[in-house]
Amino acid sequence: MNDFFGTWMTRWMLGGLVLLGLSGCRLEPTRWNADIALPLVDATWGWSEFLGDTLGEVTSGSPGVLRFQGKVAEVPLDELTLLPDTLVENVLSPAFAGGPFEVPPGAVLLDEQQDIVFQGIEQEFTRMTLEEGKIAYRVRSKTNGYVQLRYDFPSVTIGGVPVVLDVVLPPSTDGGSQIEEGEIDLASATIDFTGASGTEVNRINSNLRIGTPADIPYTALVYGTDSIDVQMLFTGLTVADVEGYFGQINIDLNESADLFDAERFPSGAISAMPSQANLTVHNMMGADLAFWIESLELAGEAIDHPAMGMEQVLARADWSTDPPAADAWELDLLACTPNLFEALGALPASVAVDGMLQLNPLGDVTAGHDYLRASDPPYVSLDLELPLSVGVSGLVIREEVIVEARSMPGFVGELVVRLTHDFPVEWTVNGRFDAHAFGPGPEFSATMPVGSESIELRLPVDAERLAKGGTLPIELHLDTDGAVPFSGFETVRMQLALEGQIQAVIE
Amino acid sequence: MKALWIIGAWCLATAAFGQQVEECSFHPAGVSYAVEGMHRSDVLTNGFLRAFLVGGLLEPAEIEGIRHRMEVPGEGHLGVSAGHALSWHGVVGPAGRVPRVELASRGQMSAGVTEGLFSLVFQGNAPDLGQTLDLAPARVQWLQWNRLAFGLGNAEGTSFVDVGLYQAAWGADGAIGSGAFYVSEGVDALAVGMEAELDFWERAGWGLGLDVRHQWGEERWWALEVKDFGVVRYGEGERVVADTGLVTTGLPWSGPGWTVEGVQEEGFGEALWARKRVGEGWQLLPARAVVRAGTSWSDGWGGEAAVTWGGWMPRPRLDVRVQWSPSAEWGVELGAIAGGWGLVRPVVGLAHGTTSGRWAVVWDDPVGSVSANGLGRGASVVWSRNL
Repeated sequence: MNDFFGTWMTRWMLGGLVLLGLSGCRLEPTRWNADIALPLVDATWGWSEFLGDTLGEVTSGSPGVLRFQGKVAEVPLDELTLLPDTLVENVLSPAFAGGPFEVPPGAVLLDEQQDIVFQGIEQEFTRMTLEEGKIAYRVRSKTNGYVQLRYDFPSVTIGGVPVVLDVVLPPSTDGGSQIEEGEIDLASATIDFTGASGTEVNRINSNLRIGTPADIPYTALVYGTDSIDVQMLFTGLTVADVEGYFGQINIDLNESADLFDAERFPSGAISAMPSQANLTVHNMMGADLAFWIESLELAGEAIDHPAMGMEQVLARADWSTDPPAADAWELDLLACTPNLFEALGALPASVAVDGMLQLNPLGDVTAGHDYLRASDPPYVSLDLELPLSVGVSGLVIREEVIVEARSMPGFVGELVVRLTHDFPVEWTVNGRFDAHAFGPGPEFSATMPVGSESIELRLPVDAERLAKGGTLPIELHLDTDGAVPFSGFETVRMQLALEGQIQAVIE
Repeated sequence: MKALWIIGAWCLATAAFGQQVEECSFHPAGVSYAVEGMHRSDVLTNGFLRAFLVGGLLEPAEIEGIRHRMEVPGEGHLGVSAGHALSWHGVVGPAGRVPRVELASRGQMSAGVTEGLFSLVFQGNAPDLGQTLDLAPARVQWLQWNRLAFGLGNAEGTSFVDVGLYQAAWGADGAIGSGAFYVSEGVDALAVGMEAELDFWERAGWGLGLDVRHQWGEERWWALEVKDFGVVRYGEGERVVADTGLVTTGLPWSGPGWTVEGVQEEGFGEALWARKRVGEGWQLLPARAVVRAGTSWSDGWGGEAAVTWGGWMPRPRLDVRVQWSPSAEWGVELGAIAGGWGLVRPVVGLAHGTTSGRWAVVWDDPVGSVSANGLGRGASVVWSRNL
């Protein structure tokens, strides 16, 4: 019945429809032309795009004033905030040969207090709170009987509750082993590093008890070759805060950073002078800090300052107040020789600073009461106030816009480039559309006068080039006649649109 | 013989364009076979449809003309149907009832689109910069079904009830619930949004439906008819859902929403179109209701008028016919149809009785059918004979 309905009847019906509706058969593809106009890309470049997006805020005015007040760098203190892994292993073996010896339920084979010494730590820690970390444990028994293991860590507490590992292993048979593995999460755990005596450093108090469980009526048969092995790995320990004596750690301050990408800023000079530029080092750590800035270089050119090469000592922060009272040291960047901002105006590719930082230059003056909160390390802040009265000479800025590949079969038309800006100076722009696999396209060039509404350029483009996608590299050229007041909110805007005709085809 | 002509004329009239293939009431016991097909639109010309289906260039002038016709209602419609039916009518039984059996097959498609959607597809958006193109409401429905019906009628065949077993072999139902497309005059801003859903079901479904007719009067009569009143439970299929919106002056490089980076990422399209398998469900048959009235004058003249609702037609359809039978063997009719998927157009019919049976042919819009500028064509042929 289904065949009858689904084939014979349907074919009759569809055959009639075709005969009536088409009066013939399909002879060629169906085609029509549609005119399309679509915006593709809207790219805007302002001061933050040209010079970086951490400029701070610009106040309105003529000229506008760029203000930045904030943290620009933190001193890394991995020695204090990242603890190396520590492995503790206990192996219990009978002190006899032969066997078996019967061990009744409830028997204690080992009950031992231990101080676990954390390895690889040069500092003398007395207490810390962990941001994260864990104990990875592995317990192995080769005993023909139930084994109960209880590992107490009274020095390690989470929410005031000591961490405990309590494991019961079933009997191992035929010379095999019973193994249990797992992890104990130590996130937010507090660790007392003074050991069982309360006067030590870098060690925690623990108690290991191994025996047979009293609540399981099973008599273990112990041979001289049996063993119980316990491994505890403290791993991934990251510090939230820490106390103790941190030692006289020396930290190299050999840092460098990229400033102006020569590919993006191939030439030109900018003249702008801040009214205020102070760099401040803040010591938020409960430990004394000393540092030396040996050298500062912009693109290889040395910048000098009266404070350079001199030891600066910052006293420890007082964490008994809220907020903590921190010592700070301030450097007036306008006192640099040659002028730091004139050197920056030449668009240097990089900046490099060389120096050293030392903890506790005076030694353990507090008898082991240094303190660090990991989220508040020593840091460097910048206080900059720059009136945007800027002179520009021969500045060239390169940008590149991506035109994504799109399938538009049969398209013939133009890539429309519209440029607008509201800078108080004239820009010139040149560029081209480079379709992938087609190579550079014809170049265009235009001048954008002050106050011009829009500059429109049309580049021929077809379906093949659109299918490949491409890039539209442009160069923006800027010159000013001396210093010009800018508001800081000026932008250059480039919009790409596609206009043309597409031939739709149904095969 | 006169009664036979009246019955034949009624068969001929109701088998006209746009209607389901009709059974031909014919007594004493008889058999009839009817086949029909049509396409009808209020905006799309025969030339456009032919070029679209057979191939070739869709001329801009033709497309502009279609759009011009869509301007005032703001939308256009197209209906396509084809089918055939084999009917048998038994002898009058003791209670005056006539057993009826029909085996039929039919496919029907109905589509309606807005001027905005049509122009966006066939003209592009450039001619309408600065204007919002409405993409909704738009709907496409398609159903192909087969029907085996059993029923009882009166001796004259003017009143009957048929219960049909339906097999829906294939169907689709899609709609754009809301949607708009806008590009600013300066081609520097684009806004598009669309909510759409399209269901296909490819596995056969089964259902039940009723055909009912009751007539009051003989010389001057009127009748109520209900056709294909029922549902089918269709099989599994696929659903495509689009629900997206974009307002942009061009895609920015990165960030939330649509970006140059985002559209190049694998799987971006899946966020715009969701495809999923759907299980079984119910689908209403394209039921129709007809109010029909007719009269017979002297010397073989008669007249009839009918109003039809439903059947996926966007508007009710009005048929008016005048019939004349100069002899027992020949009959002709002339009328007009308005509404449904199309505009006002004429309809002509011819009936001829031979020794092998009676033939009735109805030609919908005979002038437009042969013209590229016509808005559709349709015909039905009914053959019937006594057993």
